[in-house]
Amino acid sequence: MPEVLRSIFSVDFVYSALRLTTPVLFAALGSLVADRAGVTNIGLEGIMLFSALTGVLGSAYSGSLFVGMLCGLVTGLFIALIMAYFSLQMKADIILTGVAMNLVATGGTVFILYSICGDKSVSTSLSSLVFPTIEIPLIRDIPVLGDILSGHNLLTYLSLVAVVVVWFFLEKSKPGLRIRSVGENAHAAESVGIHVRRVRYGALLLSGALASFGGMFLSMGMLTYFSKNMTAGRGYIALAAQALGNGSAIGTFFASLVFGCAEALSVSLQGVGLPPQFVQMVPYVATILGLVLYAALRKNTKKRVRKHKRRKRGSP
Amino acid sequence: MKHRTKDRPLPTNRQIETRFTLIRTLVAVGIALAGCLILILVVSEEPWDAFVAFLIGPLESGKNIATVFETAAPLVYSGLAVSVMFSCNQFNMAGEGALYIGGLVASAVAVKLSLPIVVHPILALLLGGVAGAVVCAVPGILKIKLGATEIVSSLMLNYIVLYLGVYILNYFLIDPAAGFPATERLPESAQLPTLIPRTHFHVGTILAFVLCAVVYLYLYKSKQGYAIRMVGQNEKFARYSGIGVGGTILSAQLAGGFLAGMGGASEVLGSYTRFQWVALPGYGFDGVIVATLAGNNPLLVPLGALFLGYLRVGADIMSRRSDVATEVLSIVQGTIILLVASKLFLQHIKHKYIVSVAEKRESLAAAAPEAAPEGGEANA
Amino acid sequence: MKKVLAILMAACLILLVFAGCGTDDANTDPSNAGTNGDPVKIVLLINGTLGDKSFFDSAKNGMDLIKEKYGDQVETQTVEMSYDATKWTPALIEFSEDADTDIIISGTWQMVDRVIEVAPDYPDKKYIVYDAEVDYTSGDYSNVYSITYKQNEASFLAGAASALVSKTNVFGFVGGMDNVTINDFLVGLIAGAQYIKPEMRFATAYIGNFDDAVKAKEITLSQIKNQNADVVYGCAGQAGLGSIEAAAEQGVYALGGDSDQAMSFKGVDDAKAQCIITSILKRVDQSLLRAVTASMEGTLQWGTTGSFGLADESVGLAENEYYEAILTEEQRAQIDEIEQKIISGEIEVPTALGRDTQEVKAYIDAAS
Repeated sequence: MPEVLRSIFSVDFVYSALRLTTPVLFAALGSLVADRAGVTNIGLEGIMLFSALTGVLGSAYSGSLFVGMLCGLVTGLFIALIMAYFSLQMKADIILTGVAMNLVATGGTVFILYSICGDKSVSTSLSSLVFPTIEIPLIRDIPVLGDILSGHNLLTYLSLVAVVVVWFFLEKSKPGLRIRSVGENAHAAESVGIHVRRVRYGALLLSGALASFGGMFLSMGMLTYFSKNMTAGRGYIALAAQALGNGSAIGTFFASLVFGCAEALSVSLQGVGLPPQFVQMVPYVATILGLVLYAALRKNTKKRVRKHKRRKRGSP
Repeated sequence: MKHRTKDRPLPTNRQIETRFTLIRTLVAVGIALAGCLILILVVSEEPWDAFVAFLIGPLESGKNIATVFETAAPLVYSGLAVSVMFSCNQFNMAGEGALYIGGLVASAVAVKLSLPIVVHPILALLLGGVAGAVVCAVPGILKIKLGATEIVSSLMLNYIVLYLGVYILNYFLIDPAAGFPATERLPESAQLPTLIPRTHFHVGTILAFVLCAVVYLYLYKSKQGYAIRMVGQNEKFARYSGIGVGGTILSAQLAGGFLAGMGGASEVLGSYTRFQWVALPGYGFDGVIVATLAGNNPLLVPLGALFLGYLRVGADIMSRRSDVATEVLSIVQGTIILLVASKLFLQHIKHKYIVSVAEKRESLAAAAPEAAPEGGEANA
Repeated sequence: MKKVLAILMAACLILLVFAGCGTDDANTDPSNAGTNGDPVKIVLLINGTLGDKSFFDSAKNGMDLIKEKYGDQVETQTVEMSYDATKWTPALIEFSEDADTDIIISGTWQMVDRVIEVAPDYPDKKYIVYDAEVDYTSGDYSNVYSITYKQNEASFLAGAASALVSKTNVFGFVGGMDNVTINDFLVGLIAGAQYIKPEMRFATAYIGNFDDAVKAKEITLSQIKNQNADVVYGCAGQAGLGSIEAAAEQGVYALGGDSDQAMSFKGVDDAKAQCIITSILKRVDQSLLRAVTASMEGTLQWGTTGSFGLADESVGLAENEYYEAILTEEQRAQIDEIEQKIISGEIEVPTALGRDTQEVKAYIDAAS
């Protein structure tokens, strides 16, 4: 047991938690943007999977990381566009649209991989490129913090930047305001002349773009190849992180970090003597507990607010 | 009346609606299959043979048709489960976990208890269903009590149920002599008898189709079913008309979970010799496809499930006989869901038709005012 | 709506009747396959998909070897049945009823129950099941031959090789799932490593599936950094590649599994190839070739199990250029010596098969 505690309080643990947070964080931010516009994007898992594949293919065939990134990004946008077209234009249920995209992704990625590489599981026969890791000059030299914060993948830093950008975009920018007003009350927004459908299109596309980086981090950062079903439910965990994030980018970041830690914990807890099946459950149990806790807290606050209001109304 | 006998009576709006739902589904299927053909043309050396194997293969022999039915059976169970939950507007994805745990509990009953024939499988099926109901109730309770979104909690719950199940399998039910993670062979007394030799067409397959009628009666003829549909259509309105929304939501989840759990049990008892699932079987999401195809109507669920079963058997035969990978199927399925779920797909044609019918009706009414009520009666 | 229901029911009934007839027809169909002159038709049923770079691909390779050896005397066909277990029996029956088919080969434990269900109905067909044992006492399976592999023997050698190159004396093991098949490898590794160095410790972890390569890599990284492992093995199908990647990144050694993984990385990713000491091979191809050869020569004993191990070259280590570079000549000689001792029976290799989960766990925990 002390060994486990030591590994949990080690620099590596925090470093690894940050790394495991990255894909979830990207997707959770994507889910956040869509959610604030009143759209539940359950297709994140599929977007991540597709982008993970096309990023690898693009970089392998062009020999350029930038082209690879572009391929992954365009794929994410394209799938989001399909989802937007069917859910907004054709009025399909957004949940079903997402389920459909995820279905297409699980089989479609294997189909594409097989057609191109003749391999149904991994893309190791291609030499694809990887986003570089970055040493941050000054921070690197700080004793403990340097080891935790420096030397991460470019995309990990980008995900942190994305938190700030998404926060600023949603809370401070004009399009962000539109997204929020559409999400809060579409009819009211329409009545003041906001084009609801167009705003939702934009939000979904942005959501797809963010999720695509999450996918590319898996195949071009964390690993150096595409592997069948490599998202392994991270798109769904991202939905949970967003639900816990209280609708803000900062909250979503912290919620994603909690999952990163839960996953890192499920790595560290291995070999403690617990049956491995219980250790494997940790991230998912953490998610449900988080949801319950969050929902309970929110309910309490609501009750208190209501009580407060009633008291106010009661007093002369 | 006589002067109009050669014309067919004009359809009512409701008939037009039903007819167009059918047409839309068929067109969606057609488009998806056409897309599939294009994909096959791109990747295959012998596209035509592959396509023929895909479409004709499942109908070639009686055995293949039976295979379509047995493939459809678990899809019927999960399609029914999802239909009930979706009718209540609850996007509970725990059907997947419910099906898994249903299979596990049923096989535990089969292996650990020794009971006489008939009683044994019935008890296993029922307990499997109960276990499924418990699983599906969890996201429901979380939603009612705390307002936690059922989609997210149910997706997470599936993984928890899986790992719990694998633990139970590994430590309590495993047969060390098997040389792989599986229970002992299910005793004959607990198995669902096979009806057509050399297939897995078993009693549970029939039961699945019978259940469709039962669920239809539950959802459309019982008071609780009415409440479920009311809550699904408009929760606020249901609340105002005095329906206990929380209880209704929970009962929909319980019913859905029970059906899914029983599906898992029937699948294991009928088609397997040992319980050996160490990954989620995937029927839960298939249920979403079936329910979408069936428009959440239990009576149409068998059609949706059979169609999906047909596609799957076809894809398998195709991959056996040609160079096309089975995975092409998931693209077809996705496309079908997208198109069928699109409320506005082919909408303009429907509108045009409704308008033209209305115009005809009006002109008829203008020409023969006394015939109109009769025509209306004939249509009703 | 009632009409729809009625039509549906009627359709079901009609189909049922047809289905019944169909099978009857097939039963009475006389099949006299494999008569003189015709090539022997051998069908390999894959209960999964090709492209796993190991088990199934190796079986496919066995078919190619058979074709190569016998040319026009045989006709071979390989069929992927996908991972959906409910499709396997129908496929098995489809080929059993095919008059041209002579030998049907399938593998893994999942297929055993299906083969013994089907085989007695088709006494003129022959069945070979690899990587699983048929319980011949439970019925008349005189047309079934089963092949098992002593994978623990190869693991023992790999464990010994790992112990020879390890400096920290810690081995990091990542299994796909906590089950007997995976643990059989682990038990062999532990026994082999401790044969060389009794002080060898094993850090053991499981992913929970065979897909999540990201997690495999993360666990392996943690084993290297926190527990000082300097030889690692990801025994987790395609996810196991994540462990090799972690090893290459951290500059420690790794083991490969199922196919010669070092050679598959050669030229594409040399850093990975160079960190792989050797790969634990289950030579499904060799065993199938042996079995079919015996069958063609009429010496195969149908109705029995052949247990193939180091002695039959059906399991073993990949002795490639990297193996020769990493291990000194002396060390390699030592491994060869152990191999001879296993073959002669002087060393008895423990196994996880047929043992209680708790008992196996206790053995594994004792090494941690």
